[in-house]
Amino acid sequence: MKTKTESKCKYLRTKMSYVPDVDNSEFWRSTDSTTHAYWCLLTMQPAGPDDSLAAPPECQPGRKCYDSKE
Amino acid sequence: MRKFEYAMPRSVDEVFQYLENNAAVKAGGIDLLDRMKEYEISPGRLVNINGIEALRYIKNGNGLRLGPSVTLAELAASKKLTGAWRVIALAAAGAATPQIRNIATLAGNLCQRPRCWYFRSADFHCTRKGGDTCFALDGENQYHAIIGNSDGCVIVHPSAMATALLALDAVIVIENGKDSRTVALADFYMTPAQDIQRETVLQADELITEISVPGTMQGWKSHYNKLKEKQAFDWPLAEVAVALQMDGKRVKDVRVVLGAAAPVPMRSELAEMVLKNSVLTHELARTAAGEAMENAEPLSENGYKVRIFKTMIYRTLCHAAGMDPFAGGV
Amino acid sequence: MSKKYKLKVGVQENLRDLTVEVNDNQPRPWDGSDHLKYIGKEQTRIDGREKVTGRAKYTFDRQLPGMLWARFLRSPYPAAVVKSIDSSEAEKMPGVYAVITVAEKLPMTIRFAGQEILAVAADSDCVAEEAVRRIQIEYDKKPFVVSADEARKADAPRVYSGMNSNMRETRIRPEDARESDYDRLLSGSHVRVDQTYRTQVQTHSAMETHGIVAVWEDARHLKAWASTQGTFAVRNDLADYFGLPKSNVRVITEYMGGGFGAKLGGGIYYIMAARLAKKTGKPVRLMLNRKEEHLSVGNRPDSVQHLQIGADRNGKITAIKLKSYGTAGIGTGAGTSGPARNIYQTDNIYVAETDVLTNAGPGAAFRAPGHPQGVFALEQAIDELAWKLKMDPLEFRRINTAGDERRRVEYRIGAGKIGWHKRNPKAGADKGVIKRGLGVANSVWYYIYGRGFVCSIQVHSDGSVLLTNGVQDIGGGIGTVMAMVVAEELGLKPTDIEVKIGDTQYGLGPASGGSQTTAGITPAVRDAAWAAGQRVLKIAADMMNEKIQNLELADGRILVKNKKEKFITWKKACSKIPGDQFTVSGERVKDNHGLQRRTIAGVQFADVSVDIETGVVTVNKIVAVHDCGRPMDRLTIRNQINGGVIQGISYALFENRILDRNTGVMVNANLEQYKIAGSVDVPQIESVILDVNEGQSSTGAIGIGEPATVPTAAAIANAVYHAIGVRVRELPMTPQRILAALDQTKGVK
Ligand SMILES: Cc1cc2nc3c(=O)[nH]c(=O)nc-3n(C[C@H](O)[C@H](O)[C@H](O)COP(=O)(O)OP(=O)(O)OC[C@H]3O[C@@H](n4cnc5c(N)ncnc54)[C@H](O)[C@@H]3O)c2cc1C
Repeated sequence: MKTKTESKCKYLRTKMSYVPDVDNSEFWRSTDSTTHAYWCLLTMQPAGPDDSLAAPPECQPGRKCYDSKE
Repeated sequence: MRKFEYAMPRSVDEVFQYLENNAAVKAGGIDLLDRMKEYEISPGRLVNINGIEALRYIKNGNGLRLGPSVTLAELAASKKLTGAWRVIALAAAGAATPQIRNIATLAGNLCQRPRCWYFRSADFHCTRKGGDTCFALDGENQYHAIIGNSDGCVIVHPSAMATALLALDAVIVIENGKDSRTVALADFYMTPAQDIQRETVLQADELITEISVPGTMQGWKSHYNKLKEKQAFDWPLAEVAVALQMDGKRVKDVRVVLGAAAPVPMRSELAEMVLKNSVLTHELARTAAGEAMENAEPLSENGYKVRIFKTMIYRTLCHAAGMDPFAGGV
Repeated sequence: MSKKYKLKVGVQENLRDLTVEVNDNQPRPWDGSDHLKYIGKEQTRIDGREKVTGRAKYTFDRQLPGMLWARFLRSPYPAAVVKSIDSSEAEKMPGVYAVITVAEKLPMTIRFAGQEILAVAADSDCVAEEAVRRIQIEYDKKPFVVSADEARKADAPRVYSGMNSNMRETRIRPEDARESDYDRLLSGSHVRVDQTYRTQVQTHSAMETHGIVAVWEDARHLKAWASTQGTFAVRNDLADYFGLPKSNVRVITEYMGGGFGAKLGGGIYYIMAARLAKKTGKPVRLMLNRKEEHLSVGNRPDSVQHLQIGADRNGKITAIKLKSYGTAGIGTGAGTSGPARNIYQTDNIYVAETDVLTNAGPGAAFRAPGHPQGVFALEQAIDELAWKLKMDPLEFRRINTAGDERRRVEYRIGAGKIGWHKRNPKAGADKGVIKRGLGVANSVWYYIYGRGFVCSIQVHSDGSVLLTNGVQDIGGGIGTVMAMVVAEELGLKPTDIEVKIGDTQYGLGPASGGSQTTAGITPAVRDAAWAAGQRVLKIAADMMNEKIQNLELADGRILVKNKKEKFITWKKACSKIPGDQFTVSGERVKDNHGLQRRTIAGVQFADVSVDIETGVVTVNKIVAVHDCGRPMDRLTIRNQINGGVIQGISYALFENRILDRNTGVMVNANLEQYKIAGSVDVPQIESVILDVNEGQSSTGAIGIGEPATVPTAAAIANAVYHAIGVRVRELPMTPQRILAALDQTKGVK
């Protein structure tokens, strides 16, 4: 199974959430996504409001607390 | 830290007026304040003795007399501390940081409480605090005792000054406003077997008024070495003080003291026996160092300290005798 | 509209031509032929005096009238459920204003010792602390696991109850790779290294702790001082969390006492402080203490890295295979494969990385996430391979990075400075007890920058110049660099420029993470300054009756090129500014061309002594040779290198978060027993900063903060091997570990 490395949940955060419009972004993501710490804006912790881990593979449509950016 | 009263006596007599009901003597305060912040103690009153100039002196003559409030920096810089007494200056110079040495006092250093990370942390109610678990015993004990560690508490005593002064048979004068008593430094400290919650015989209403070294110890030489993991303000993995009286090439009398080895600063009689009346060579120093560790019983994580002690005892003996430890081969 | 420029680009003096196209509203990019007055020289900090005299006010110092002091109550247990909270005693205390819980409702899950449960606000710090102690919590304690090795076991307690293992899905790259293909390459290699390397958890110990002072100016306007690496990040998080327009939230970071990544984004302390401020209607200060820093704000995850590398007879690497796991506590991000994938030239690189969850404080971005760990393993393995081949480890690296001109130059310079070729070619060859050794290790990092940052410059009729942007100076000295850029462009002195930064009321600025601050902001600064210069030149051209193309700005004057005696002063020209002042701005846009090489190259050499009877390692000297694109302020770059090396030494020899195996509680959560290199532990550090011009942006700046700390521990480890002839494959390299390694080879006690 392929890892889901992107999440469109509007609450999921990592440090790259704060670099606007990064050039090289694909390169950077593929280089370093195994070193990213993630957290949920709603809890400011690695666990989301449903008490499960917040990270891209987990924060996908269907999860109760998921809310899409779009 | 809890709220407390603050008393600033100007004389020794005045100290005793304040020293009651959960009061604590504060000298430099380096150790005391740390413990108050971790709620290890919460005195209702601090009696600051720092303003009493009469407790701050270094006097030599027939013997050495040290005021309890003399600072480690003053000891480190003192020109009076030569020969046998040099070990005091070396120990003081090697402790803590320049800032701390400027304020830390001799008596405070002798009475500071152990640095065991379980004892120091509010999160652990250990045997020394009246609990029933020694967390270090089968926990994180890499810095703990390798000798005398089977009595329910495995701290090492932290005082560098005690290590040095024990090599000189120092004596402590203790007063309580009514009586005065004199205690040999060796009897000042208590093992966990004697009392697991205290390191010294000092009572809450007592004040140390002098630390002295009897006799002039003419012809004695001394040295102190400390081995640290990190060179900036680290505690010793091992510290050794040696006082040595030679008769030609032969050792006439000797004290070998180990700090950071056991719950109390301790003389190694095993090492001293090897040395006494023998010709001091590199080889003999190695043998004595090995012998000193014969009764070591390291814990799960601190076996390496045995090896380090052997090295440091050997090197300190060489240094005290004026021999180059590195000339003796590995 | 755009213009074309022919630039001189390349490494040091080795320049070639490159034509680039830039927008009309931008200057010709600085290139290798530009010899500038300030840029590339050493400039002391424009705010140095404020800092050393204590006049600089940090978030920690901020006290507002009526302000309350907040404190957290944290779980003493690594795994538990909070069943009930009784704060009635605390709430009755005089001076206590509010007690609020982190979770909306109970029960609440606790996953690490130190996790925040509630916060108290009181009129003094003492009262807040005492109130916390009077709160009764009923816990239901659960089994826990704090080591990654234990957590991997099938029967280990689960950190997240919904997961059927503490191991997250292994990330394999290339995604479609078959491990057996790489095994075949490795076993067919002439020589091969197959070893496991371990690194420890390093906590985030910046001088200033994490925290915030928050005040609601009215129900819809929030203002906060924050010790952050990203003023705009905090602003956005606060706005999103409280459902406010971004325009209504203002975050200020006037001075900042350091951050290594953990201050990059949101923190629960921000939210709790703002909630307390909202509830009490008063300003609230929530600064963490040192213990809380160690426990909760983030750390460098640990790692266990199994690395296999093969090489052929000629010393060419045939394949690299890395399988690693590690723990970022209750969070993610313990990967280490960046170095393995981005330094050496081979097509055959396989990496598989697994996050292991444990009941420990979460990891966070930490100065080159994954890289000091990855390089510690990779660069030792590379060294081991070279020794096996009986090849000079430096030569082996040269062969396998041959295409990278920067590395070639760096190896040559570094080797010269450390005396590489005079070293004993044998390992462990010194006689006696104190043995000396030299080691080398490569660094790698990446060129990252964001877009859309906006700098404004106001020029006044008295000639004064104000530069504004919201970027925070976390200690790197970006404000000074920005002043230098403006001064360079306008022919003024850096101290002539008034710099106002660290406030989200100004234009968007970069977050200081990824070593991107200078690369992100300086082009916008220069473009703004260039536009300001053009305005003043136009005024001057009219006054002097000259064509604007013939004029230049230098030494506080507007000069006629090649006719230096004809000039008017900057002030004089400015006095004719219509309407007393003007404002121009510059925006960070996409680079004018994509760089072929996206890595940042560096190399460090270490000279160490090892006492084989005590196991104490002494670092005598570090030579650090680094690329950071076009250097801006050589002094602040040197500061970054010094800091990176010191932090690297500290990581190599001392730092280690120790969790009690039986209770899961950190035993060394202070700066005495959590050991950090002090002044006496710092060796001579000789740094060399390459001039690498690419002309990709107006300034050509890249980054240095992270690359400077990446290779230090590995260089020291390789030097230790050269000294004693024994590998130490685990950090930190304490006397205990050195002695154990020596014992193993001797087979004696
Ligand atoms: C980072 C750091 C590193 C250190 N490294 C070392 C080291 O390597 N070696 C070492 O030996 N020490 C070291 N120290 C400890 C330091 O030397 C002691 O804390 C200091 O000497 C205590 O002296 P003080 O005057 O501040 O004592 P205080 O904190 O004032 O008092 C300590 C105790 O002594 C009692 N006391 C003080 N004076 C008297 C008196 N006259 N009569 C009766 N009781 C008294 C107090 O009541 C209190 O219980 C270090 C400390 C720190 C913080």
